[in-house]
Formats: sequence, C-alpha cells, structure tokens
Amino acid sequence: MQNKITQKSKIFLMLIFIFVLIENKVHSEDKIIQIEVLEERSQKIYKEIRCLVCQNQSIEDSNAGLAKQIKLIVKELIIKGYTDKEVHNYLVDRYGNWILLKPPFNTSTAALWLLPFAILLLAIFSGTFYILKKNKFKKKMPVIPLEHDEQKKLNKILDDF
Amino acid sequence: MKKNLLFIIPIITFFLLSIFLAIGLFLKPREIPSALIGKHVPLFNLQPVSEKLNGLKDSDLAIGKPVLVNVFASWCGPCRIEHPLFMELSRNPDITIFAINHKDNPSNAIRWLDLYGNPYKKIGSDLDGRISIDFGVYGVPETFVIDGNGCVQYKHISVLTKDILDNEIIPRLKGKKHVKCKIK
Repeated sequence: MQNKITQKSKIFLMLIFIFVLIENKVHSEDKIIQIEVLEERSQKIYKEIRCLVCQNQSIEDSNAGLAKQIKLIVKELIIKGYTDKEVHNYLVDRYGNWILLKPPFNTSTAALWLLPFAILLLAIFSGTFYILKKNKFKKKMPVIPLEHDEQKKLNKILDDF
Repeated sequence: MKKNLLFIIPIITFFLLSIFLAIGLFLKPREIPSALIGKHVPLFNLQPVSEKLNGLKDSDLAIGKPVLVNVFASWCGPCRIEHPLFMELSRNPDITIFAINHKDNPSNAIRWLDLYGNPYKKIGSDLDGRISIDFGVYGVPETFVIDGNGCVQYKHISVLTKDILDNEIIPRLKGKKHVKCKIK
C-alpha cells in the first residue's frame, strides 16, 4: 500500500517536472520571439529617424552619442507598448518634424510633395501641345514643287549615288 | 507680341530661381528650430551638482517672470566663450538664469564654475542627458527663454552672441515677441 502511494507520487512529481520543463521551453521561445519582434520594429524605426548630430544620417547609421541614446529610448518606448506612430510622435514632440527623414504631408510640406508632380504634368501638357501644334503647322504647309535647276541638281546627286 | 511674351518666361523663371537660391544661401540648416516653442517645459526634477547649490525642477521655471535656461557642460569649449555674457547678465538683479549641466561630471562642473564664475541661480545635473532630450537639446550650448508660466518662448543653439542677446533674448525677457502657449 505504502509502496503504491510513493509510486503514484513519483509519477506525479515526474509529470510536474516534465510540465515545468515544457512550460519553461515555451516561455523562453516566447521571449525569443518577443525580442526578435522588438529588434525588427526598432530597426525599422531607426532607419526613419534622423540623427541630430550627423545630420542626413539615420540614427541606425550614426555612431554619435545622441543617436545611441535615442535608439535606447526607441526600444524603451516599444517595450512600454508604444506603436511605431506613437514613437514617431514622441520624438517629433521634442525635436520637430525635422527628426523624421521622410517629412510628413501637411500644409507646410504640400509644395514639397506636390510640386514635382505638378511640374511633370506641366511638362507633359506643354510637350503634347507643342508636338500637336507642330504637326498641324506641317500639314497646313503646301508642298512647293522644285525649280527646274533644283530638280536637275537632285537628279545628278541621285545618279552619282 | 505673343512671341515676346514667350521669351520673357525663361527670364522670369531664372529670376525666381535666383531669388530662391539666394535665400537658400543664407539658411542655416544645421540649426533646427525648436519643437518646444509655444509649449510648456517638460516635467523634470534634477539633482544639484553639489550639496551647497540648488537643483532644478520644472516648477522653478514658472515663477511669474521670464527666465533663461542655459544648457552647458564643463567639457564644452564653446560654453566657455559665451560664459562671460552670462556672468555679465547675472549682475542684473532682474534677470534669473538657470542651468542644466549636460552629461557632465558634477565635480568637474563645480571646478569649472569656481574657475569661471557661477551666474546660475539653480543648476540641475542631467547626468545621462535624458532630460536634455525632453528639452529637444542636441548639442551644447543651448539657451532657452521661458516665460512666467513655464512656456518655452525661444531657443538659441550654439554660442550666445551679444547680437542675439540684445535682439532676441532681452526683448523676450521683457515680455516682447511673446508666443502664445498651447494648452496641454
């Protein structure tokens, strides 16, 4: 009887042990995935943030102290549960839109974003207009027949050829 | 007549372009306008650099009259250049100057202040530069003008000059050129 109980409890203990092992493994895998996601998200954000010291470099490329510190802050914010947009806003609140390598579209940047397309359209319109006009002009022009001596010259050239 | 008009277009374009390029020549792209102007100072509470001196916290910056906040460090060469200007300003009892000691060793800061004089009423020691980031600081020295309600009015980046002091900072300390604060 006594023996049976210990047998049972042994099995029970073993089961617990196995369960803890599996649970631990799953948990650590979860952690690894979490770290990978964090890494991926922060890397993406690094590329979009301008380094304030080495301007025109992203904080990912920069070795400046401030860039390193902002990288840490980005990670901190992600861990706190900020979305990518919220991380951007956090930095923009402190350093202005300037810190984003890709300027957002708003009233002050409308010209920057739209002017290239406007110029392209203008070029297409004026180009087609010019070609159409030229063709029309050509069609209207009567073909003047060659003078007698001109025809002679042309014939001579063609013969020599 | 129509042909003449067509000839004028490139000339006008050229002049417009030259005007824009001329403006571009005098821009200072390295000096980023502060995002904090018209906003309240961030919340912070910084320790003093030594036990004898006062630390700095956000409520110190809303004392009913405009104040100056200078971000400095003992390791910063240009800070030494502008320091005499702050010493001169501090002799005026109407002007209150505070400072944030940026990523500096407090004992070095104390030695620096002993050597060149201390124009600051209160100094907060920002050891890791975290509060400086909340202030949008990206290099030392930087100088802020903050109004009586704790609202940022102006920021000057790099060495303070007599010209900037007289034309930008002093008028703001007197309450001129006031920027309305956005309510949080």
